[in-house]
Amino acid sequence: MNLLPMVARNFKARRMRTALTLFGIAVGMMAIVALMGLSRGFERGWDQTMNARGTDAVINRAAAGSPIPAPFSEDIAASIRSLPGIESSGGVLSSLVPVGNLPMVLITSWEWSSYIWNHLTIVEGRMPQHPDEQVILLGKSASQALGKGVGETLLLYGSKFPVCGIYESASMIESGAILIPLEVMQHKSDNVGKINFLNLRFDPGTESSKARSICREIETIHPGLSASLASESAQQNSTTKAVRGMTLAVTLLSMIVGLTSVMNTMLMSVFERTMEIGVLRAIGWKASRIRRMILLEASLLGVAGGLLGVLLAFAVREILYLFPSIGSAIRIEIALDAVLFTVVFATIVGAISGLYPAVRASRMKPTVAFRHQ
Amino acid sequence: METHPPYLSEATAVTRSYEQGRIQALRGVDLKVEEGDFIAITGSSGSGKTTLLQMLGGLDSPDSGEIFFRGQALSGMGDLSSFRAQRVGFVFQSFHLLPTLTASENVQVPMVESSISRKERAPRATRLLSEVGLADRTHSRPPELSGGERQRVAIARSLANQPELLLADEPTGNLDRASATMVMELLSRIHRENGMTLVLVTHDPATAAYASRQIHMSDGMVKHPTSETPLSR
Repeated sequence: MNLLPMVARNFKARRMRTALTLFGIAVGMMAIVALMGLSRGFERGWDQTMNARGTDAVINRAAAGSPIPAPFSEDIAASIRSLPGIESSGGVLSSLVPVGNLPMVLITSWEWSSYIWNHLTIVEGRMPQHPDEQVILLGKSASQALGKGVGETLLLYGSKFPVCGIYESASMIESGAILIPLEVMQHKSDNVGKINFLNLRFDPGTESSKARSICREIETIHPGLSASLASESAQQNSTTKAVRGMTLAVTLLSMIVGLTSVMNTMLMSVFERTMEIGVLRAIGWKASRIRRMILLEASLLGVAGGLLGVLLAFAVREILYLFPSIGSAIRIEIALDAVLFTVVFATIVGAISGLYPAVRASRMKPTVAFRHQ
Repeated sequence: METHPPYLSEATAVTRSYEQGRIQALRGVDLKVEEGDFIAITGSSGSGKTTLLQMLGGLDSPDSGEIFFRGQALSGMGDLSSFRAQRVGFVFQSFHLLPTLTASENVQVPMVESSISRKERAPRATRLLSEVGLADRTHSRPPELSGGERQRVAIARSLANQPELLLADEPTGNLDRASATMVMELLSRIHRENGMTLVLVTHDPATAAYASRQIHMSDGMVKHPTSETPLSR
């Protein structure tokens, strides 16, 4: 006979309330895990993209407020690529637009003669033949999600584009994208002479300190631009920052919901068990043991809520992946550290929520508890 | 001059009031409990008998006066949890068993605050339940037991840590006559066979008749401190 079975029986005796409390905590924890997974998935996808292209650094407008930064002039790109230490570069113009029945698809276009094209593998059809050919390539996932193949057409920017080929890429982001020659996209999207990313490749053997100093130099020459190493650019990306901001907000919200929910449950439990706690005190249980019992209950609610939240996050992820429009656009990577963080966080929230009820219960005088009857 | 050894429990000039003095529960009560005593404190509702019992058991403390246990003032003991766990056993009118635990687990609850090892607790609880005639109900939960059976589990629980003093507050108050008789027979046997000192509070003359000494209280005062009654059973 020790505290744990007693606590377990208390939960069992109040099944519905325990279940509702757990569900309340679990939903909050699920949101934390899912958002952390989304952020990680995006970072991973971005890293994959940079690695697949062989890009060392990325230039875009500083303080971008949206996932796709505002465009800047190709002339600036020309001045950057002439800096010492830079082997080659590739301008990119991207946009997120609804296509067909998909709410959001990445349309990307690459500078015609740049190295970026090199990593693509055409699995069906062909590459565009010249820089202003009005055709599109579909990534394999995009082709499946849109249900379009070579020879079919797709309506983009008010024009019909024939699909000239399907490509494979090691990058999940690219695999879910539509690729257009840069000049065509610039004309169709009213961004003539503009790009929103510049991919850079440094001279072979460039050390990271040198690479950083080149990035700093670019930022000094062009104060409105941000230059970051490819390995760090995902963290600088506004989408990553936005998801992180959301994660923090949801974490704080979940903390508040968890705190009030567990505290309410524990206060109700302590109130209902006034007599029981009075009897325990009467037969010699120390106040510290009563405190431990209540804290154990609250902490267990937190642990169980956290674990349930993690399971819910896995389940929700699999459900989301059933929808091609979502599965082709996002990846939720639930890592062990996110799982551990969530469970520990939920446990701490549970324990903190139990403090006040525990102190209240431990201060209960047996004679007062008996009068409560 | 020969000095009396310390009483097992002693109340001297104990007063206690509630609601900022509006209710005077005890007005200077003196009581001496010797080892091996079986005392019944009788009186009508509000006479102060339960308050006195709670004072003796360290559940409440006097406004003035003192409670001694083996000559040691309870007021000097600090936290009385250990005193209640080790030296006193309580039996309540409403049994006060934990409804989610089995009879055996209920009996083990006080052992948590004793030196009894975890391994010893369950066999000890089984033995105590056998002694009160509930060997076959060790796994039953309180809602599955009759009133008399619940009170016998409560008695087994009160003996869990081998207390020196057993305090019972209206132990038959919620029982029918047959169950009340069974419970009082059990308490008498524990007193007789184990030499257990027993103080019980009751307003029922039949229950009080089991005691070797009756004390009548009225209006917060002891009226008949030494009314001896023979052990009738």
